[in-house]
Amino acid sequence: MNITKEKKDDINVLQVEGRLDTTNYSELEDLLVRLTENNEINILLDLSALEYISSSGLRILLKYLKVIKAANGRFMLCAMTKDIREIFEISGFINIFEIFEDQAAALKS
Amino acid sequence: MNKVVINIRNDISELHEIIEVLKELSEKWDLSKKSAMHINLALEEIITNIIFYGFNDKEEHRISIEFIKEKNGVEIIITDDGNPFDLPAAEDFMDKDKTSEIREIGGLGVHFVKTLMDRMSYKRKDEKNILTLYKETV
Repeated sequence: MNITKEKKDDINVLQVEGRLDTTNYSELEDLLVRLTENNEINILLDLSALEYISSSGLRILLKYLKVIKAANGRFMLCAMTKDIREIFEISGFINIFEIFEDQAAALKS
Repeated sequence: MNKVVINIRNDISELHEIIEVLKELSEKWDLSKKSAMHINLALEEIITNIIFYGFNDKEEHRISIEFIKEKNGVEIIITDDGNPFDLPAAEDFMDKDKTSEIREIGGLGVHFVKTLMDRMSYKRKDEKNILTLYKETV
C-alpha cells in the first residue's frame, strides 16, 4: 500500500493505492491517528487506485468515521472502482459513508 | 497442473504467500481479477481467524491450503490443527440484521466468506479442521 497526502482547502486528501489488508492497515491507522490528533478532521480518501480491501481495512475506516463524526468533521470516500464498491456493498458500508464519484464532487460538496 | 498446495506458518506475514499463489493461479488457470479477489478475501478472513483464535499455545503450527481446479471453478481446502471451528455453522449476523453495528466486532469476516464463496463444508478429522470452499469462476 502507498498513501499520498495532499491538502486541498481545509480537506486532507489521501490517495490510497494498492492493498489495504490485515498486514498493513496499521499504516493507514497511524496516519489517521496523527491527523485527527492534530484536529485535521476533514478527510477525503481517494480510492481510485485501491485494488483490494479486506474486513481489517474496512474496520479502520469505520473506526475513524466514528472518531471524525464525533469531532464534527467529515470523512469522505471517492472514486472507488466497481470491484471495491462491491465489497462496500456486501459489507453494508456503502450506506454508512459519504461516497462521491471523484475528488471534484467531494471537494465541492 | 490442476492442484497447488501451500503450507504456511501461523503468522500474519504468511498472508503474502496467499497473494503470490493467487497471482500465479490467476495466470495459469485464467481466473478473473474479481474471482481472485473474492478468494483472497475469504482466505484472509479464514487464515487470520485461525492464526488469532485457533491456537492456545505459542508454538509454530502449519496451515495447509490446497487449490484444485474444477471445470467451472476452484475448490479450496484449508486444513489446520487448531481449536475446532465450524465456519459454515457460524451465524451470519449481517444476514440477520444488516443495519446492526455488529459488523465492527467480527461478524464481517463470517459474512464475507459466506457471501463470496458459492459453497462451503466443514469436518473435524484426526484433531484437524478441514474446511472446503468452492468458488465458481465462470
